Amino acid sequence: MSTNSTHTLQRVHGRLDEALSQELIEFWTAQNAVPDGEFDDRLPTVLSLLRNADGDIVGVSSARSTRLALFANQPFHVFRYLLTREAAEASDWLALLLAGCEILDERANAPDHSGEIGMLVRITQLKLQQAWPEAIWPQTGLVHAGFTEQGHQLRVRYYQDARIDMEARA
Amino acid sequence: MNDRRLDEFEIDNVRESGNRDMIDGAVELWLAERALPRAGAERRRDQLLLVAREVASDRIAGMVTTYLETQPRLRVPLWTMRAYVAEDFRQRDIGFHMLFATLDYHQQRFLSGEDTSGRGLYMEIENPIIQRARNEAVWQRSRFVFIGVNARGHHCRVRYFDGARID
Repeated sequence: MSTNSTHTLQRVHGRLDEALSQELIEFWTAQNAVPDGEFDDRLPTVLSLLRNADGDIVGVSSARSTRLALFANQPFHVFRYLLTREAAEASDWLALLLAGCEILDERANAPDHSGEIGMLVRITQLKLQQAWPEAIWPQTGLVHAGFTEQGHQLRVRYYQDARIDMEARA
Repeated sequence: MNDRRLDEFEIDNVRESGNRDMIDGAVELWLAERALPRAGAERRRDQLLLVAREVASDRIAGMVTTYLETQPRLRVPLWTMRAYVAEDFRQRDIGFHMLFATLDYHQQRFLSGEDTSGRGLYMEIENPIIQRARNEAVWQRSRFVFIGVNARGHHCRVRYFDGARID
């Protein structure tokens, strides 16, 4: 899958070998994005990455499982992304996001699904909020769910047949 | 959108009709069932949108209020919707029909450009029985989406109108 830019998207979730893991660790280290000691936790959460024409990693996405009090302690995947300045186009971000939606939908339908009911995305960059002002993004179905205290937009999409577990609120 | 019939009841859009009897009847119902104190009921009089009446008995069966509000978290103006169904008429689909009538009314005004002040409908579900019974993250027919809970633990749901934007 290609983006609108010169970058190429690579789905890597569940396919990380030692060489690719090392490449990601070097990328995170160069970007000062992931502290030492957290690599082993972060690697299994990686979904996809972007490469430039030279084959270098210029973007990566991941999803961790969490429960937020704001969402009644329901289990969600929180989508995260890291893009270099070289990959700062909205289309690059959208490519990572679309791939992330696909991968997480597949995981939600897998027999060993760990119970998350949907996906949350925190949009930290104002230009991305402005690029897609629709209350419901047509490409992904992500729905505007408000803003965080830091002013980041929060969007949510649910997996098929998701239900709110009332017992999770305790 | 709503193909379930509701033959025994008539739903009046009192914001359009100005039907005084229906409006007064709705206020009296709130008071009779102790759903609201007098001052609160009078405040909501101007927010009344729909009043449902059982045709055979001419009794008020339920009502919907809407008012424009911007939730601090959402930062987008929405029509906050509240529904009340009289004790004698619960479990009879009245709330379901009033929900769709409310959605149709506000969305059509939004799409036609007649009133674009609200970008969608917003509701808080206080009743834990309804929270449990209607616990789908996205209500399939009306497409209200669960967007979390408020400070009192009430479920918050939003339904944006087609084409709505976040400024």
